[in-house]
Amino acid sequence: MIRHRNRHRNQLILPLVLAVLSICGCAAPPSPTSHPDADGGLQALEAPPLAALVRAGKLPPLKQRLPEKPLVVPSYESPGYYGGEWKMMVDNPDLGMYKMIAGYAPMMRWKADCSGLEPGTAERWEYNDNGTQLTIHLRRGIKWSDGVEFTSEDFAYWAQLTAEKNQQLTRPAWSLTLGKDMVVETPDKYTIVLKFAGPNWLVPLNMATGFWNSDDYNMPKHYLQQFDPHVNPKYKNYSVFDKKNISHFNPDRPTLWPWKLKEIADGGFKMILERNPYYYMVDPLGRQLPYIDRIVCNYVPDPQVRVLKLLSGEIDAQFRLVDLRDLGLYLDGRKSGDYRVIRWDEATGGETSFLLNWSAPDPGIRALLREFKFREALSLAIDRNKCNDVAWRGLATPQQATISREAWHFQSPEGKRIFDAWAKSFTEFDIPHANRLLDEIGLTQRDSDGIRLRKDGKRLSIMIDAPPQKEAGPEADEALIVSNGWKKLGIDAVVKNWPSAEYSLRQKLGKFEVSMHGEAEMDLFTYPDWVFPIGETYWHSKIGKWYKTKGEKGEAPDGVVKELMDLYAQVLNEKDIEKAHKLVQKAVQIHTERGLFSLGTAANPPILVIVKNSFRNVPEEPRIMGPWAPAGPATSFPESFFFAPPGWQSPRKHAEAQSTPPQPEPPKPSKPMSKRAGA
Amino acid sequence: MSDAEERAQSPEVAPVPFELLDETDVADLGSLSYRQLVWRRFRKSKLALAGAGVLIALYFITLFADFFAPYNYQTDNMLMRYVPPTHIHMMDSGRLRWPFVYALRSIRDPETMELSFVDDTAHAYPITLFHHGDGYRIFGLVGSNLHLIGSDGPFYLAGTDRMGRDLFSRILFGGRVSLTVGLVGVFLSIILGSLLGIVSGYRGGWMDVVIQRIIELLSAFPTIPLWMALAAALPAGWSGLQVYFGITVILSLLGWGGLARQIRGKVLSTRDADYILAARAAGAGQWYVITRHLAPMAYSHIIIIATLSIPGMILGETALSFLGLGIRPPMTSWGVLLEEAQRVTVVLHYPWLLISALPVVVVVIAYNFVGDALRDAADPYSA
Amino acid sequence: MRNYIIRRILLAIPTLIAISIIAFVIIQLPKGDFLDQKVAQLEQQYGDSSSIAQADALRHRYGLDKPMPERYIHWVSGFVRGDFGESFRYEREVKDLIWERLGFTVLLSIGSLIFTYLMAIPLGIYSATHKYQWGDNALTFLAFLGMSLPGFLIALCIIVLVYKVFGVPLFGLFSPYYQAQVGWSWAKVGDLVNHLWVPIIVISLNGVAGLMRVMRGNLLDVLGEPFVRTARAKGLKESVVVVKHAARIAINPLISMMGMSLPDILSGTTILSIVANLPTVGPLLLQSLQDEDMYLAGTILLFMSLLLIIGNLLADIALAWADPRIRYE
Repeated sequence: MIRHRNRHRNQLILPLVLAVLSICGCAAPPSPTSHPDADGGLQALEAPPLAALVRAGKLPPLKQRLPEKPLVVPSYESPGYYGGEWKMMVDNPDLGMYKMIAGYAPMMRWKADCSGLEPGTAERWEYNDNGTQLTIHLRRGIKWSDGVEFTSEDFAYWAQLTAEKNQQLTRPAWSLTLGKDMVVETPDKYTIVLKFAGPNWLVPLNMATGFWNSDDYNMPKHYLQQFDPHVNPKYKNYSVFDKKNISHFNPDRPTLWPWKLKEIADGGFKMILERNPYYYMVDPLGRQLPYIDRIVCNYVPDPQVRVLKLLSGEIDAQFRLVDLRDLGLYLDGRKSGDYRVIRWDEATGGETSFLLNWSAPDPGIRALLREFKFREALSLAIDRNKCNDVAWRGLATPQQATISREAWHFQSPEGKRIFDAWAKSFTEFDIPHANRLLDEIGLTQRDSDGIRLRKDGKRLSIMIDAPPQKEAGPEADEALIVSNGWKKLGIDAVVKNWPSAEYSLRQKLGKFEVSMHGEAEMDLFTYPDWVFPIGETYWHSKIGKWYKTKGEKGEAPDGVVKELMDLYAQVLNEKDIEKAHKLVQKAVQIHTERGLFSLGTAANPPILVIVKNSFRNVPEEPRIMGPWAPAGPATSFPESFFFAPPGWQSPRKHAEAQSTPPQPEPPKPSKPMSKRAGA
Repeated sequence: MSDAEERAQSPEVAPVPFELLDETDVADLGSLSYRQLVWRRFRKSKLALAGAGVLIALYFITLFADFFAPYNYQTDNMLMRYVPPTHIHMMDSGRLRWPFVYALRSIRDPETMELSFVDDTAHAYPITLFHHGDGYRIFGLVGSNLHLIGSDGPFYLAGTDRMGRDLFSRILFGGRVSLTVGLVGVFLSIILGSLLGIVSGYRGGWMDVVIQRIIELLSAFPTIPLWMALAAALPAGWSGLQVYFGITVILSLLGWGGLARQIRGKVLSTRDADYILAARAAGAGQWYVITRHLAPMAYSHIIIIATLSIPGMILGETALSFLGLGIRPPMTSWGVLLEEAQRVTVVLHYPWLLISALPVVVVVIAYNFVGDALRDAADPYSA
Repeated sequence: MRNYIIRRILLAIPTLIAISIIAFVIIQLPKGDFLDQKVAQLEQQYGDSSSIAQADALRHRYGLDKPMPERYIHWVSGFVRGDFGESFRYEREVKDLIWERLGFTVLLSIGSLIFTYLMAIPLGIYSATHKYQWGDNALTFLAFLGMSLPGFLIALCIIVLVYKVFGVPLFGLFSPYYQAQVGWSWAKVGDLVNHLWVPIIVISLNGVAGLMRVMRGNLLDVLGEPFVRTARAKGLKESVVVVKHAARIAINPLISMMGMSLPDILSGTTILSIVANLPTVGPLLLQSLQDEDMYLAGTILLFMSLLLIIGNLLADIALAWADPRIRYE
């Protein structure tokens, strides 16, 4: 029998009780331990849990786990304490964000300031005289995370597999020379010899680039062989092999990372990684890295939830995925969240660039975009200060579209001068002059709305492709500012948002008129497209297609575009790196004087890094985060980050306060290498 | 929809005895026609009258948004971003003055680089009626720049957004889309639903079976997910207006089923009534019977259901645009405005942007009042 | 009764088939496919030629190079084995992805349904019995408010406010400590309840408001009937009259409406989960639609429709049980 009246009263109580419970509950959940073990102190040469395993006989002693000559990592503040759990956020289950931080185990590494390469799992490498042979010497004694030795066999296995048709790995573009595969020889366990059909000086740079290359060529042969249908007849094809080879899904796959994948929980929303007991890096005191026991990557797709998680202090350290526009919020929340906000340098040019399609589909627009004066007028109508103000809070540098200022092509005095000229070219905001330019090229007719008419009598209408509204960050604002500026020239500029797949497709196929791109590259040898039109990207998709298909499809280059392409051919053949830099500079000069294929608005915005106050050894000065290729912040050695016990003082600040000589700095950029050799 | 629901639906809105629909006088109800009776009962509810008044006013204002809004919805001002709602002052050094606003001075916080605004008391601008502001074209034809109210100084009744666009104006312009999407969608639903319902009930046979199955099929889909899937399928190349119509069609797609069912029920019960048979015997064609006899009977039903579905459509458009699947910029709607407000930064630092929720609430409540009262008024058996 | 149920189940099968076709077609209407995104990413990383080759290999593997009817058959034929295809973005089996989220989806939906009815019925009764007094007016006002506020907005505001006031972020379904814990404990259940009340209240808001009004209206109707007058005349207490006699009849239409509320609740759960980052099926659906992750999106739509059909059937059975007048053939 239902007693409504009573239940009515009871039912009002229930929500109230729940509310009260939750309020009490809210105050009390125990916080996870982020504090290191008491005996993780500076005397320990290895992490206490590992030491315990060694004592129990379950793990080989430290000396046997490390290579003969481990990689020594300088400490930014001081050698650290063992222990702790680092919670961070990723925006994709493929752990791309994590790999940018700790999934970087190449044979040669980019230096943190992007000035060149330094040894990674390889000790040294050298070319022969004409660049057709590269010899890599691996460190002796590096072990995979399961204790098996890492040798040249693993790399050879990878190379052999890339030739195999029926599985997912393919030969990367950098391994091909003049269209032919490289030949891999392994004279002994620690030596790899790569032979090319012609001079190919870029291989070490490519091997060091990004996390993806090394993730591919570091293949644990001893583990994967058991799934290889050629070796194990139980498997008919490579489908199981491919699945087992996915480094971010398979915890059983041995790795060279500092933390190895242990578990994927919560339906793919949480990835837990644990210390790799065989990691090959040590700190200046010879203690094995990493200090931190465990990393928890939370997959958080919604940007607003990420904001809240950061504000509440749930995240120990977050590099990337922190929106500059929320700076005020983060600064306000520092006390309650117990974190500090560090500004690194995004070190990217072209934030945002407006790509002017060299091969626009509409012939009238195409003809106009190929006129230098038209492009110049478009550039002069961009109010870069306003773009900087709105999109980057005035914290970036208004300039033309370039690659990173920090790129090693421009570090000599001459290089700096050439870069500055590039960055400043046609950046004035001058509407009257721009209007005059348009009059000069004959666009003098206008219709009743004041919009100019083209030579064929149609309205001068230009469509700006923009990414979907929800994902657009600063680009959305800048697109509006730019279109408003162009409207003042009598151009009917329309901004259109496309869904992401469509947006990239239009860029790739060259179907757009004006599109946008942020974050230009750092190194032109590995990613030439920004300056040399050889890829199906940016403003030169169809030209790039011509290059890739050797003239079968796409559009043939001519004039200034052809000059750039010829210069690139010279770069590929250039042995002397200084001369190669000079060729790049020459190309940049062409862009400065006759280019303007992409119009830039600003560059080098700061990027926010949010770090809990107990989380240390994170560089506090603006390090380069950069585009993904130079692998920041992995190049700043996150293995050496640690959790400080309460009351710990940083010797760094301490030293500065007492004006004693500062701690040893991380290695400064050495003089540019004269040969393409390392170490 | 299940069989039980069908049963349940009927007692919700009591069947209107069709004798009352006849235009001629009905003795025991005095000399008033049915429509007049309904109006009388409707009038009794003050809430409904208020609601109806608000709705009519809103529709009128948004129709002529160009005139009523102080600014154009796209006018941006990068120097006036995230400005809080303007204070309207009437006192100047102790004396009463015609309402005015002060100019704004911006201060940049050196650490956060955020702009904050203070009144610049040195410069005051009166608020003028019939202000000459942003230009516009009335229905794309005649040009004008007359605005009901405005000022030479900053006149942001609801503050500005991240591009310095006046939120109040954007709400008025957004209302055009949000308010009409519901109407057009419901209109489509009605046409589709009543037509198919009548055909289904009157003709019977295989047409009936097919239509019933289709209705069942559609009702087995969860609403929002289906809307999401359809909205995601709208071609990317479509213009704002095409997307708008696409969205209304999508919204109406799931609505006509219920209406069709009920109309069909009614038709079924009266199909064989005497007067229908008489009309057929007298030589009336099928179409004549449908339009002259069956359809009018359903009018009140239709209107009530329509009024009650509109809020659902408005909220549906809001949800879709909020998810990024609905109206696309530069067109704006209340859903788009709400999506722009859906940020932690906004809730904590720029809360005035949340005012965009207000018109949605007001309109939905108003429609509910009106619909409720209509239903009560049309039902002769209610207490 | 049994025949009725069997008939309904049999009828559901062609319905589901038709739904699967429709869903599959709709999802692929946008131009391009998921791999276009992936290719763009691959190109950035590997350079062109190899990325094209990889993309082609992937296309072949996923069967994206086949015509639509073939893909559909490929998808559907896996159902028998329990294979619903693979998600492109997550690179995992669809059934695993959905299974992990299904639990919470059902929990939230049913929780909201129960909460809605538990709140709406008593409040509706109160409102009807105190017609036009201040209690009724207040409830009426709140009802209208509840029916018209967009849920996602309320959700974000509540979450931010709770954070501001209590310093605790209240999204997701667990606080970080319990999230890290594997396996269940009473404390973890308590933590779950802690976090559940916000989503349930927000999802139910709409329903409670509407249902309460309906209950009120129904009860008022019933209270006007002759038999109520008889009961009063017999000398029964008012509360007995209202509860034992009138309310029981007034509730019937509401029970039948349970089936109708299900789509709304499922939709509400979807939108709210997207805002509040809840591990349910909703955010998965949105992502998969935007990605054109066709097997995932299609299967989710199918499952949601299945839930609806089951829910309707249960509602009809409940109604038959509650109202002795109703008989199914």
